[in-house]
Amino acid sequence: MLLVHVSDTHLGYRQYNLEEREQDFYEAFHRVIENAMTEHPDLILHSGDLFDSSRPTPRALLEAARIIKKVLERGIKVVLIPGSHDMPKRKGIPPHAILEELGAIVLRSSRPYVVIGDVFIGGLEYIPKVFREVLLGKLRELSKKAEGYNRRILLLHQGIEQFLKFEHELVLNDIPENFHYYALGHIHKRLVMDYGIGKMAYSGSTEVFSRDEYEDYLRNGKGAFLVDLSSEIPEVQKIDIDCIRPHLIKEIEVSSITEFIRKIENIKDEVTKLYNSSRKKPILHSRIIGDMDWQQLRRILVERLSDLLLTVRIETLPKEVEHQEIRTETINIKELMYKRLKDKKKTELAYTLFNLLSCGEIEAAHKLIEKALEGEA
Amino acid sequence: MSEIIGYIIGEATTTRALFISKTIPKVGEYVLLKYDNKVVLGMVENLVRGSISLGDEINDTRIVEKISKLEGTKDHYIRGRIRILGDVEHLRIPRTPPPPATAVERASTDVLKKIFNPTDKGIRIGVLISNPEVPVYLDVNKMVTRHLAILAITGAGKSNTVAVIADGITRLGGAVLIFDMHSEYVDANFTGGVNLLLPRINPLNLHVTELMKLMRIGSEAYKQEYYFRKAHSKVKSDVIKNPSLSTKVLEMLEEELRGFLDIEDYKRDRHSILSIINKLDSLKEHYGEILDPLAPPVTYQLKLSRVNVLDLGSLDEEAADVIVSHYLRTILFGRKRYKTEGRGLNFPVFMVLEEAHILAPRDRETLSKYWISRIAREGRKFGLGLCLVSQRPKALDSDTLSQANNLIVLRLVEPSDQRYVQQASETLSEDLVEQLPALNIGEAVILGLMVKVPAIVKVDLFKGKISGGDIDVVSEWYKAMNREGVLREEYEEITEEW
Repeated sequence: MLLVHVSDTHLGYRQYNLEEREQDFYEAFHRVIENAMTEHPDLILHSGDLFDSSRPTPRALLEAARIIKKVLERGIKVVLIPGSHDMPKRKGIPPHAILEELGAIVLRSSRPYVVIGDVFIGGLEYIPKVFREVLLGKLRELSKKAEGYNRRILLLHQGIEQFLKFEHELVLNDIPENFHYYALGHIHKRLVMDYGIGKMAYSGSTEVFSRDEYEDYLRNGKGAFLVDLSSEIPEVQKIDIDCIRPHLIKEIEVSSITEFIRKIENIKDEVTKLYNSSRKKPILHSRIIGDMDWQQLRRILVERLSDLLLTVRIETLPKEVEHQEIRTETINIKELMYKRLKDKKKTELAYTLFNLLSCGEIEAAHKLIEKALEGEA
Repeated sequence: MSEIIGYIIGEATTTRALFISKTIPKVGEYVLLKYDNKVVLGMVENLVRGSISLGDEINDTRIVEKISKLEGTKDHYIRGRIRILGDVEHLRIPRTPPPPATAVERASTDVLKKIFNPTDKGIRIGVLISNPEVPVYLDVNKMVTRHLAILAITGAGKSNTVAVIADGITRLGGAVLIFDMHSEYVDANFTGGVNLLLPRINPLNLHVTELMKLMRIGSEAYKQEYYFRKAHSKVKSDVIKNPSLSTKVLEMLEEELRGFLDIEDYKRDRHSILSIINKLDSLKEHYGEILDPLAPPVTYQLKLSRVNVLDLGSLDEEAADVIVSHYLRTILFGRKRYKTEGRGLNFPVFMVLEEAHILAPRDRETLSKYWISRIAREGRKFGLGLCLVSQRPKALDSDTLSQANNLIVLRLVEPSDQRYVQQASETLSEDLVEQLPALNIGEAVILGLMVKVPAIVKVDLFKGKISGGDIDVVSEWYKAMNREGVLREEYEEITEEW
């Protein structure tokens, strides 16, 4: 069996309140599913946060419904779980209920698994940390239910302590070990590792949800995972998409306007290059360091770049006082003395005295001085 | 009506007498001796039971069985020692010792009630162990002016005793301030309610030494101290000139210190100055919450008829020391000013110091120790009473402990602790010390002017809950085990719709 694992598509997310950014997220989802379908999978898994909100706009709902419908019409099954963004915080029905009407399978506490062929697929909605014990109990139950099936998959939308230090609900050991593939969502960076008898994977977000994901995107790409369940240990491959909007993260240190303009011109070149390769206007995150008139710098930056950029985020910082650390062992005392005294003989005397006195040899120092004075006379 | 339990034998003094008894009294029981036209009260201090024929050289059980069969209990005897406490009327020690063969009578309930319930200015602490019909009252005037120490091992009932006393004082309309090191009294149910004080101090009101202690500027760092004092006095005078600056004391201190860095004469001490700036920084980081420029002065926060609880539970020992010393200092000066100028703190306060061995330790100096000992010495004149509470008496400063003329000693097992307490207080006799390990939870030896005669008392159980008691470990486990079930129900309610 061949399956596609996708997650954290955040449909309806409108970053910086920009229409284009909302569109970027729809596009990313379209592209990832299109690319996935060329692999002819039997199944598409979505590990939560399909929508950015538990009450998505009709637009976001429509986008999701269209894609899901298209997939289902091709005879590919779709299994979803609600995530931390699209699961209602209090009582209520998540938007996934509509997709269920279309024929998708939505796993959750009241319907925690489905069996397709000889594959057991278990899954739970996102369960917050206050209900950790509930989550653990449900995981135990799922692990037991899965026994006896040939291939076993688990869908979760939770943070795990080893990957998400502060806002996690689980530690790695909490997760039952008898599944072949753990299709996880919630963490936006891509991650695959061996766990239990199979593979554990966070397929990551499909667009850059926050700036700090960009570096991971450059390194690992974005998209979905293609998972081949036919081998003993599942094989996991990346399905990448190439429509991610480029970001440019720049630290600009300035001490004069001309310097600033020169640096901006350099950035302009980079921006143009990024645009030419992606056909999307980049987002610039700039951090300007220096004791200058911010208003003026902002104006210059915006005037010269705004046509080329989707948006620019500007952070300004005063110039930091530099601390220079001097290691004591690198100080050459003799040299310093020579600089002052400018006389080899005097330096020699001073240095010897310094050494004698620093270890308390007062008498020897006395003698040395007397001798030196005699020599002078 | 009076029951003769034995007779005086041997040589007696004006304070001690031996007796033999036909029935078995209890240690701590009160007896009456009538002689030389006086009725004298005494307390059974020690008891021995023995047999003439069954001496301690016997080493065969069959002999014991045989003798017992022949003799029965005929030759058993009970001997004891009585401590003479004074005549019943005035509790003055008589000038003459009791003659031999004086009858030893059990003191009746009526007599004891008269002795232990003397005034209306008392609070009930409990009942006599030897006679539960007799309630014991503490004379609050004597307790406050002569200070009190409550000593016991952990779990013997210190917190309960404190609660009973605090509750009693508020019933009289008085003011108690508990320095609550473990947040035990914070939500206790006192008759007059709790007036919760948070450990907040206006940094402006802190003495420069208190600030330095919080910043950990040690006495050996004399350069740092020099510059800090300089900056502090400058800031203080600035604020006095312009009170609107008073919320910015710490910032002004930093500014002042930074200014020092540019002064040519101070250049050689740059390190010291930088070091203080760092310490000021870490002061803000560690104690930012305590140092609140809007905190009202302590003396304005204390309330009558309430138990004032200063919650120190969240602080480390250094910070607690600073806060306590600040409170003690402010309260002492508040009372002094009231006495001399008529403004300040206008009522006496009884101050309970939990974990007194941390605040006034024997072997090191703390800021609080100084003020504790000052209040111990001077408090009498200003109506400031101290109650030192400790489970490690021997770690407590002995001068301070000896200032506490009243003692409530609950179960105290360690001999070195017992000896230490005995040394610090003349009133605790060897025989009473021997009783200490044998006391049950809530039982106490009470000594000092506040009770007139020593008493062994079962302390009342405080009815409003205090959280100092041991937790029920097993049921906590059980609760944790059931947590999943409880949470699950709650969770199902949220997700039931779908």
